[in-house]
Amino acid sequence: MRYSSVYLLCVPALVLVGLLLAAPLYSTVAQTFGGEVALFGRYGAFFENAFNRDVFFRTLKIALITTVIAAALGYPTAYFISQAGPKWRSLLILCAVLPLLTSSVVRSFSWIVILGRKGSVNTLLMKLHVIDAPLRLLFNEISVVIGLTYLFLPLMILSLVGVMENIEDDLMDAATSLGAPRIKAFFAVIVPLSLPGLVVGAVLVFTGSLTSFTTPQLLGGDGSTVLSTLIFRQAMVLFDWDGAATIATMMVVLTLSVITAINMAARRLNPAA
Amino acid sequence: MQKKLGLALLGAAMVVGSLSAAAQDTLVISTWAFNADKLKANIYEPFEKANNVKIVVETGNNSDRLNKVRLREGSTVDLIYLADAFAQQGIAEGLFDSVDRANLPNVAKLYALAQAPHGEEFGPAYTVGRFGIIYDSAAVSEPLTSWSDLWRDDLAGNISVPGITTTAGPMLVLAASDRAGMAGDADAAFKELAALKPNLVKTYNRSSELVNLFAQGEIVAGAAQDFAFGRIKEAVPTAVWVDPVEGAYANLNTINIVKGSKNKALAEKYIDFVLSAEVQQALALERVDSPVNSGVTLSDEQAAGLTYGADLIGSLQTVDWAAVNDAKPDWIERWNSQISAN
Repeated sequence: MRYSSVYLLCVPALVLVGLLLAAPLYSTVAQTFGGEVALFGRYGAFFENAFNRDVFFRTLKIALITTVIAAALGYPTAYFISQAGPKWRSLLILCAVLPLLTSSVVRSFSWIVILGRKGSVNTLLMKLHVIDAPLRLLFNEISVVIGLTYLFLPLMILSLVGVMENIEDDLMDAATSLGAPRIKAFFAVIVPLSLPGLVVGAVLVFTGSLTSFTTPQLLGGDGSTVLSTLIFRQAMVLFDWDGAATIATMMVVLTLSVITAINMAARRLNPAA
Repeated sequence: MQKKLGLALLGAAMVVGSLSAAAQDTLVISTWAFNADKLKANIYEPFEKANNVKIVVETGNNSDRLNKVRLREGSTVDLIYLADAFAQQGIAEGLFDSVDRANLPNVAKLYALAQAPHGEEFGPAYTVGRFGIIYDSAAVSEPLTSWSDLWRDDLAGNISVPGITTTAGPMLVLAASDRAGMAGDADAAFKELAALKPNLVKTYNRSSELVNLFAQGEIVAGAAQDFAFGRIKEAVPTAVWVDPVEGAYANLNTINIVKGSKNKALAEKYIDFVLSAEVQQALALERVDSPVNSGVTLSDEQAAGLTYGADLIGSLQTVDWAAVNDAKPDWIERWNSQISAN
């Protein structure tokens, strides 16, 4: 087979991607510029509305906080898993992945049961006499962040374990034998080398949190509308397809910008990666 | 040889069968997915038999189905079942054909509110539901009897109401404006709704959300449509339905002919069939739809849970959806900034 004909093998996939991804994306973006409004007029109108602005920044905030918490929880867990023996490692990875096997509806709903007024947390705190009346833990931004962190933590752990596994133990030994305390060796050797995993994990968690619909819908309250729930309302309830397309386009741009920013920050921290 | 002959005969029979099927008219009906079996047995099959027609059903919720009709110009749908709020949207956008009342003799037997909710030109209502109050009688100190009771101090952090973009949302706005003594006035209504906020746990957008809030003990009362009551009662046996003293709001479901239908005469015949006392009685006994044909008689036991009888139906408040739909963008704006904001 000549080398150029190998490209032909990509044609089916290219056609599929073109039809199912590029074309809808184009028509979504094009829709926001169509009609009798000024260029970017729909975007201007969106941001003129205080409620929309709140939703926009709330969505960004929730996604960023979720990413940071997932990284903070996932990093030590992933390091622990990567240091375990091969047998334990596969078992631990299985445990980390297990929640991914159930639907996001079930995983979000379980937090309603845990955080609810008659849920386990409130029941425990009441039994311990820490509180007299049940706390209102659900239907706010915090419950959304908790739900999203739980939802996406496995992705962070998996991305990190994949990279950490491939860091040679010898490097750590070399660093300590050259006189570095273990903690310093960890930050000077392991952390920079594991950055690519952190970047992939952060991108996955961030985009997942930014675009997730079920969790904010189930765990959020009236004060925690996010962009994805707003799109649903614009398109499916108010039939405002232009408005929905505008928000969708903004989410794509927002995601791409944050991914670029994460990549740039990672490159600055570790130019070799 | 015999085997071959048999096969040939079978083949011929299949050809003839498919030919006669092709000669049959098809009526495409867009409706909800609920109670499909009961509707089939009580409406579709008898109508198919009597009129030599094949009925094809498309299902989905109000907005999905209206959207489909909107996007598919020259729609393939002949008839569409919609709640009145959505039917009014379709009418405003010119999606429906007119119906000839002369072809709907059964309309005369309907209760007044069902005859022409959107005017004589458009489809009548075939059933009525209520928007009222549900509460857990074991969890409140005093029974709730009026819309105003939702504002009671003892319900702080304990109720849920429908969001503004749901079918029933605007009815709550109307109830709030009534409470202020200024029916339909947005300023007065939203002042009252802002005062309701301390009592709100969260607003709901689907009846399933409301059922869950009751089931998990997150709320003890809520403003709701009556079709949610059965499931709430299953989860919370002490739950009670209330028709507020000011009157519950009527939620009418209508059938309209979609513009572009090539089976208009048949479609009108179908609407009239659904309004007949026999079909209305059968569906009431199956607990699918509350009857609006005044010729239907039910025992107290049969009527339990249904919106039945001249007295109850006469007590309902009706909504001017044309006016509400016009005001809705402003109401959504106010709701977002005053109720949904932190």
